[in-house]
Amino acid sequence: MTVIEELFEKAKQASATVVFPEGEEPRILEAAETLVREGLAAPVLLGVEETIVHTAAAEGLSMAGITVVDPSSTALMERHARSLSEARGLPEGAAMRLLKKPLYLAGMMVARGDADAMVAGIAHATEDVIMASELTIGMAQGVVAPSSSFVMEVPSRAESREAVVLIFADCAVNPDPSPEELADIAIASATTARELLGWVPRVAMLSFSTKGSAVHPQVDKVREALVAARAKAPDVLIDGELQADAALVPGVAEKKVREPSEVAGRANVLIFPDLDAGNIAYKLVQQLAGAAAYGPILQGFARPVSDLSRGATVEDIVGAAVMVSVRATAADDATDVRKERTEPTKLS
Amino acid sequence: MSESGSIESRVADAVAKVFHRDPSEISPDTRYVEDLMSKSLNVIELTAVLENEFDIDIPGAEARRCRTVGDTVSLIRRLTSD
Repeated sequence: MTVIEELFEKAKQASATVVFPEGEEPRILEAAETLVREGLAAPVLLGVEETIVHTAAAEGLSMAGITVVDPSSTALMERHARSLSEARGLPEGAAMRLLKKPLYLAGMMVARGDADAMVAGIAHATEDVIMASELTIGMAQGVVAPSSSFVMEVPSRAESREAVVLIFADCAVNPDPSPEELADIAIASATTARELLGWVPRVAMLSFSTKGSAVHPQVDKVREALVAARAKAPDVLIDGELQADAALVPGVAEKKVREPSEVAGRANVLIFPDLDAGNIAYKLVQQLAGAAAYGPILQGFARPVSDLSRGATVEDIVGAAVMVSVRATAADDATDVRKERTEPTKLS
Repeated sequence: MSESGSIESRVADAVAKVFHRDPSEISPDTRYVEDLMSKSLNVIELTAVLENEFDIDIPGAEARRCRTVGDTVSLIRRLTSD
């Protein structure tokens, strides 16, 4: 079974509620219909009901099992405006202004438990999705910088061997992370590995140096990030700085890494020092090794959010919803968060 | 108080609120990034607070171009006189 097939099976068990702030977009509607038909998630679409129903009819789509929330609903807006106002110290009127933007209303719905996760971006820039999520949903504990990761499924050349599956980060969001930001990327990627794939993450902070083999300010940055990440997340297996072969190949790790390491030679999460390295790496592996690259998966937020590209297909949207559903359920199972969150407000 | 003075003090109050400073610390020369360590989230919040205060819509791109509190005062003055 491929990674994505496994995730689809997990999503069917998860039954998560996913909110789509761009609910009037035909591709979102079609994806919502698929999610319901395949039992993958319970979609909630923000939009004018009349518009959505009309579009569905025109596209020959069923609305069965799809919840529509009209963003202009006064009761809903007022309820979430009060919460946002209290959380951010803003006047309620200012909070209402923000909530008139669907990304922010959808984010507050996730923050308040009306939905488990958000999928957005088909009609908004990535930066807008990130800003709205940061302001409404907020960051995960101990994480300051949002980031992204890819799940890379590299087919094996040997028929008898399974594909190699790894997480690469950050290949899409942070151009030149500081040591603190790189530490956040490592911690968030470990969480993604755990929630999405059920792994024990083994996180390698990559560099062109292995354990001091090279001396350069760029190596220092990775070393500082390692110290910061270990301080923030002492329970996560993180090591560095490691070259890619020392991170992945046991024989190379044995030769290059003189100290005990739970990660060297066995890494399953690779943290690249900057966006140049990360973006080039994932595309090379995709093109030259025929790897499937699932993502970018936004991470670091308190609840799962997925950012869609403007050209996302229905299949991409369904895949994104599946991934946030699995992550949301795994996060809730791990921390029993659902019981602690505010009783979901009735949608109106 | 003159109309422009009123806009200045209302903008200063809004900036003080969003950046958790005393209004007496805010002047037209106050720089968002250098003096207030402003990030993108702060710009979004400040824009919403000002939109609410003056009952206007502020284009995001114009809000982001403001480097100082004085720039914001000029922007508000222009948007409220249009």
